[in-house]
Amino acid sequence: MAANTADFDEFYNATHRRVLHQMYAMTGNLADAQECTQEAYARAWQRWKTVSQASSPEAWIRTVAWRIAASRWRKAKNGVTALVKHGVPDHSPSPDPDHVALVTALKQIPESQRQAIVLHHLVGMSVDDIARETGAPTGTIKARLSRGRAALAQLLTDTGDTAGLPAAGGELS
Amino acid sequence: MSDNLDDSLSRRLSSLESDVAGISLPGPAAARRRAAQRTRHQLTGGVLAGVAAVALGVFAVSPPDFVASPDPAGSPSDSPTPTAVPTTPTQSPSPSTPPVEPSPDPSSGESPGGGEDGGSDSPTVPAGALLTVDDVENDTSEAWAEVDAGASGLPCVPDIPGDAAAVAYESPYDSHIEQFVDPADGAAEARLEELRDELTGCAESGGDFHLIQVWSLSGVGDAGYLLVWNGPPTTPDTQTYVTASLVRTGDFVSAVFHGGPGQDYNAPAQPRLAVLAIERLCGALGTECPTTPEQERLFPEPTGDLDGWLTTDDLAEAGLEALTDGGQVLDSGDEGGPTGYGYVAFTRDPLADGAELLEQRQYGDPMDPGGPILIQERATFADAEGARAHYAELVFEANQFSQPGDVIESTGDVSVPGYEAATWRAEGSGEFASVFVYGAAVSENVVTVVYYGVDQVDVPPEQMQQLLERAAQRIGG
Repeated sequence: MAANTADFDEFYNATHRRVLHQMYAMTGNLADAQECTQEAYARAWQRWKTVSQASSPEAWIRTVAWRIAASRWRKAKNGVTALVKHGVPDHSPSPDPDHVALVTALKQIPESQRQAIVLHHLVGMSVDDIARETGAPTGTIKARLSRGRAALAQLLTDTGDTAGLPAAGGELS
Repeated sequence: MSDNLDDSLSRRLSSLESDVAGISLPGPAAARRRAAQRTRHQLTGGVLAGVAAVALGVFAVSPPDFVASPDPAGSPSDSPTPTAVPTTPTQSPSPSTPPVEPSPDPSSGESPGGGEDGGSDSPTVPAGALLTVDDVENDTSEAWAEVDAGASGLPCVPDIPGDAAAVAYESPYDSHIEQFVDPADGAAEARLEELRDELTGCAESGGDFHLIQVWSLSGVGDAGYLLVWNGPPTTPDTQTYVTASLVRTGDFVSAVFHGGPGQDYNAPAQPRLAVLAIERLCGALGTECPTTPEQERLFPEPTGDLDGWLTTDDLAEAGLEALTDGGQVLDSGDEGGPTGYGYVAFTRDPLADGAELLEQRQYGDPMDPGGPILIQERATFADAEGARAHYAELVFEANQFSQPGDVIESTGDVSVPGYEAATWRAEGSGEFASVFVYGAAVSENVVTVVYYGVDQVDVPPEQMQQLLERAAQRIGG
């Protein structure tokens, strides 16, 4: 048992910052990323014997964290009515405007495209690996990546933030 | 062209790392505590099969199918279908059967129907007292077939008592349901306790056996228990999970065992099979029995309220009546304990500001593990002056905090003799907006923060402010 605890803690310490970063990119919200990532580790501990033997425990964490985030959004959509309604969202200036533009753009594309974009361009996964992790066909992943890139390029162009993003297109491998 | 786009996206996504550089998670021990606070439950074979088709090595987080209630079925007692006559119990113990004290075995050669026409002094089990295949199909949404009773192979399930009537069903996903109704002339109460002790003893026998939950059940028959455990057989991906629904009424004890291969899952034991069983049994006896279950967790034992921390009554005053399960306190001295506040807007590091101790406690809903939680953290300083200085910086930085797309507003602050408190509300925008409410307070030499991700139940500003004041009052009295 002690060995399991040590293994888990070592795994947590080695991976949590990376997963937090990825979840931030996927959710566009630091608080959501914090909560979903921690919750995913809690669930991993509950079945650590199995998770630790998975081919990629980190992928397990990432997938579960993503599903928690998606579940929260759906619950929020279905159940929560904010008591205080605000006007146009205040896109508060961030220390880095480039980050604000990117996060804002990411939040405007469909969640499946956002997930594929992050897994491919941040995590560095191949289309085949993303397909395995998400359970979607490779053709679907390619389409999500292509459409997501096109949408991001357009959104970032619209905000005047091209920042080195050329027009979308091209084949994905 | 495509390479440029790839490079640009990768570079820009990577640069987001600087946004999380100052953010800390509560740590591995906090994750373990969060997990330990929960109960767990099985993921049935049916769900497992569905998951396998899409998950490819990644496990599902959807609830088990028998947690989601199917469409209400008619009262089982309304059904004219008589209970199938059970077969003679099989006497061969599973190799995985743990060291349970074997039940006496007077049943060999007894006619099908067990106690229904047995010759002992015990009261006989009336016809129609057992679950039917329709009962279990309506409850689980799986297709079931009747099989020989006593041969489920589920860990810790005892042999069928000699005077008992029994029935068993099996689903295509290797799930099993086995029930016996045991006549216990004048000793049903003792028999129920004996059965519970036998099952918990087995589930706590070590090795691959783990007791997961024990609940007392009232409002169903005279009394009852729900127990969940796991044990062998195991595979690299699964273990065998069993839920026992034990209820007694009059001179009878009903035991229903539902189990099969599965993976851990967060859910409380459900009382539906206990209710179905008591409806069947009481219908057959021609008696009226209560069927409005209320359950109280006995294991893992709830921690209860702790001095210096928010109480469950405090949370109820804030509208969070469901968060009745306060966990154990985890502190910065524990290996893997909290190293900073666990909410993003609290950017000030209490330990760097001189706190001698940082502690954390979580509050959740025992009936909704994995659901919303409220977290309270307390930073203890050497003196009140240090705490006040940290609080001032903490509030200042929380007031400056922003993140793209969120609207953050200060929702109140108070300064009275004895304590200060402040609260905020962060609302995201768009289709996937999330809402967090959070606050900080200081009293004596302790600074406390409270945060809650709104999920179904909101906490309005005035109630959040009241909650933070309660937190402060709990510190200083």
